[in-house]
Amino acid sequence: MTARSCPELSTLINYVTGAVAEPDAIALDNHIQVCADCVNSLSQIDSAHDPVVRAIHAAVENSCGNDPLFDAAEIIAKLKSASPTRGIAGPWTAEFGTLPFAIGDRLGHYLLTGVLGRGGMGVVYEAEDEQLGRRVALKVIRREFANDLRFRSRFLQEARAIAGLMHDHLVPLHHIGEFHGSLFLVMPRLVGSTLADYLVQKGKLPEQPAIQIGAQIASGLAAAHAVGLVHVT
Amino acid sequence: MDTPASLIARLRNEHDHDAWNVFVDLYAPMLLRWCRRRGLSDQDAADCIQDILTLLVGRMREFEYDPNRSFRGWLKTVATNRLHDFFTRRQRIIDAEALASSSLETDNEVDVFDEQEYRDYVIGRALQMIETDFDDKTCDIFRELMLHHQSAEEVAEQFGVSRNAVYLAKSRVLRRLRERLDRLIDWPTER
Repeated sequence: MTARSCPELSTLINYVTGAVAEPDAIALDNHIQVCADCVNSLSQIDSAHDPVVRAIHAAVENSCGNDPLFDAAEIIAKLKSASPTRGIAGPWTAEFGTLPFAIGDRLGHYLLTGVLGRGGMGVVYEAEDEQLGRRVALKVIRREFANDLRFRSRFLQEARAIAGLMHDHLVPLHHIGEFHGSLFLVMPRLVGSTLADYLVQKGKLPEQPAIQIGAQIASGLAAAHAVGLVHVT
Repeated sequence: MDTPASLIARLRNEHDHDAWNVFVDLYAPMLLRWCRRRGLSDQDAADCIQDILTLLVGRMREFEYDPNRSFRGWLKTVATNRLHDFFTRRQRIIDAEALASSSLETDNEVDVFDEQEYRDYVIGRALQMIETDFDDKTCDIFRELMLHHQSAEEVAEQFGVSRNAVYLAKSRVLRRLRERLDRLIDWPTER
């Protein structure tokens, strides 16, 4: 390498603070490895002024002697086997949430056709209502909750309150039931995309729709609140 | 060795299992510590952590396109809500009305979501994780530089390498750290 191909000072500053992009960095590595002039220039740069380098200095000093892994190795191994791949019976079911029912099982006249999601309360399946011939969302409550008498009475009480709500901006409850000791809820299977997806795609809502949607959400929540239900999440 | 894209960007791809594994590796220890301190068993903590991380991954696109959002703040909100849900349900079951509120009160111990605490942890854990991508000497040189604020000359002498090699090691490890931590940390503003 000749002095003529040496990078500019600004590039060297980025180099020594790790702020160069990878394709350029490889060429720079090759140059720095052999260039005495650049090394002299680098030794004049105080990289500790860079906020990222400063933070890393501090972190290495502060955590010296601590193992940031703690003793989480076992939990990490479990969680890795439970990657949240969407779809039917994916790795989801591997370690934690063994599905309470398999795809293809029938709960009364509901045929389970897929898994839509999993939450703290239980698993939401996609199902076919074979009597009415429509697609529904069916939520099976975790067994540990379903077995608890206090939870059951509270659950029934809340389900009745929800069932009494007729509101354009609330998802209605079709049915609650029990199958071999598991409580479940049946709701419409909604189609279309979520507001969150829309926002990701379009960036933001124009003013009028934003006001309209905000008002609809608020009116739905108010209706639920009026019968004593609080949406805690 | 994984591809040079930020973890946040990779987590949008639901088929990128390696990205999920890195995410778990990076955050599970901190969240486990936090859950344990609030009295959760390891099994409950694992459930909680899975829910927290899954929710974050599911909404990663929203986060990525909103440059003003802080990951630390988001993580704290999601984790606190999830734990609150857990205690609310548990409360119904074990008839301990005060449990949720008392358990959520911060104690005198370290708050893992404190800005400095969080930054130190995430940097330390990320460094520990990326070290497997480099040879031992590179890692030792880097730690020596960061720990004792030594000059490249002193470190070069100590390890019997050229100054060139010291700068090379420093730049390479810093690059990996920056890439891994892109948007996960709010860097302190320049003084």
